[in-house]
Amino acid sequence: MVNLSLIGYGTVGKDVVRSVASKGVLFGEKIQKKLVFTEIYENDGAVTNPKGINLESLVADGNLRQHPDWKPGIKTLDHIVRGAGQIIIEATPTNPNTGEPGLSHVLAAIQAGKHVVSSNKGPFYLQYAKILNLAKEKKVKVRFGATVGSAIPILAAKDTLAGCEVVEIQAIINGTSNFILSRMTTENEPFELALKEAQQLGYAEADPTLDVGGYDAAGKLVILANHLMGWSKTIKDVKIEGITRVTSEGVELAKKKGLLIKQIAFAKDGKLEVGLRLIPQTSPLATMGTLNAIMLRTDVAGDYYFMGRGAGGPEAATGILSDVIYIARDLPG
Amino acid sequence: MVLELEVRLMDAPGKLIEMLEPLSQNGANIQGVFHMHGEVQGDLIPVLVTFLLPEHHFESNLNKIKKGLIAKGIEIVRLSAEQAITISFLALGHVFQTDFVDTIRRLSKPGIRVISIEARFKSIKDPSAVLFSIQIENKQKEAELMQLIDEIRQEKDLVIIKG
Ligand SMILES: NC(=O)c1ccc[n+]([C@@H]2O[C@H](COP(=O)([O-])OP(=O)(O)OC[C@H]3O[C@@H](n4cnc5c(N)ncnc54)[C@H](OP(=O)(O)O)[C@@H]3O)[C@@H](O)[C@H]2O)c1
Repeated sequence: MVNLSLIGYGTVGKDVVRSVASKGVLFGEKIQKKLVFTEIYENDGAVTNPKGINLESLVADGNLRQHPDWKPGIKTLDHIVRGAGQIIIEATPTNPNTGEPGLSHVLAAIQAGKHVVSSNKGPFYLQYAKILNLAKEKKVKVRFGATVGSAIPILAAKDTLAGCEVVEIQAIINGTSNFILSRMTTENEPFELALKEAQQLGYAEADPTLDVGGYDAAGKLVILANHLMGWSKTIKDVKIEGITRVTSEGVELAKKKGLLIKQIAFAKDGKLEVGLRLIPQTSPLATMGTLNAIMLRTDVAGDYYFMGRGAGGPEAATGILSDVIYIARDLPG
Repeated sequence: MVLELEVRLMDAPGKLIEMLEPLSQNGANIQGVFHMHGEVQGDLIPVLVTFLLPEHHFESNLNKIKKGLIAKGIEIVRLSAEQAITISFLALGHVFQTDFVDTIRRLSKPGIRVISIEARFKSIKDPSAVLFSIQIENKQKEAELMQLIDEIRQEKDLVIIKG
């Protein structure tokens, strides 16, 4: 049996629970171990059961606070250390300036000798080195595949492409911006209308600044470069340009020439940049809608492209569970 | 523009200086001379010269160089310009309202020239989109062009989208 603690029962957290409830047997077969939740933390309390939380009622109505094991008032940060979880799953939203509350959760869990899986990128684009050094010291595993491209196995490429060096990254890693630029291209919509549509479809937050301003892509770029190229950068090292000043006229003119305007994140020669570029409509990076696309250029083996749905509850939950299964495989039990 | 000239010279004293005369007399700035000793054919040594020929009177100077070499009985194996490169970028914003002629003039430097522009706009007063195609004579000019574009972008508050 492997005990899991989940912090944050929102879009992603709920899908993690749903997935374990419905596919737990399958996961168990993969690693010859049963995955159980011992803690599920929310802002105002937690469901806890050291023998394993019954997920049935959660799957039925999704309401944490009606669960028989609900304990109001539990403070996540205080409880992580004494909880029964062996792998802590961090799925709270982040403060982009401080990385909190996730940063404290992650550091406390590692300090307590627990493994960590995170879909929350803030702690990693702000304090990558600190987190990984502490994990090394405490001999625990920290995986954060879901922070970039959700279930796209891009961070896993560190292992799967270990036979070559990544020398350059080009990536479309903000689904909201890609959706907006795509609508401006295919439907000739002005920026404001495409943004409104993205909000109505749930792709963009009420405050879309982090997405359209390029900050979200910059955070993911830092994680990619640090992890795949061994850099030690933070988001302050990224030159960032958003998409808010892209006009219909520009999109139309590019289109006439067989080109697309895209927000691309670059890492090369020690420099990080999120900016606008014209790319041929035939480029493998020319993905439309909310799709993500990432190109890794290697020293000896050419270019590799990774593509897929970079956001969404089931996608992020899949990224999280892939990491959980990776860690759980080596745990006793 | 940087050019490459390949000739075959007699392996004798003074032949190299004699060959370089038509170049230096017609505005060429010699950048390198390489004897390809490994490829000697009979008593002729292939020699590769790279030189810069300024745009001013480029065609007539080049003709004079060719004629001068032929007059000296030197065989021209190859004379070629380095491949020129075309770079495109899109400028968004008040491209016309911020002294368009000045923009074009500042993007026209030795070895850098605007070869075409295409524009979209609602009215001349509105923000426009202009696609610039710029030819640079070699890869080394790229950094200079990027610097020029960046200065113009900052000064005129334009969005620049590179190709
Ligand atoms: N959604 C996606 O498609 C996606 C994809 C990849 C990665 N991610 C990342 O995954 C994380 C979660 O995303 P989400 O979409 O699930 O966000 P969400 O729907 O806002 O859910 C986050 C949950 O965390 C809870 N929470 C906040 N502070 C907490 C604390 N101190 N202790 C316990 N719980 C706390 C929130 O409770 P309250 O609402 O009461 O504050 C909320 O229920 C984010 O960092 C996001 O960037 C999301």
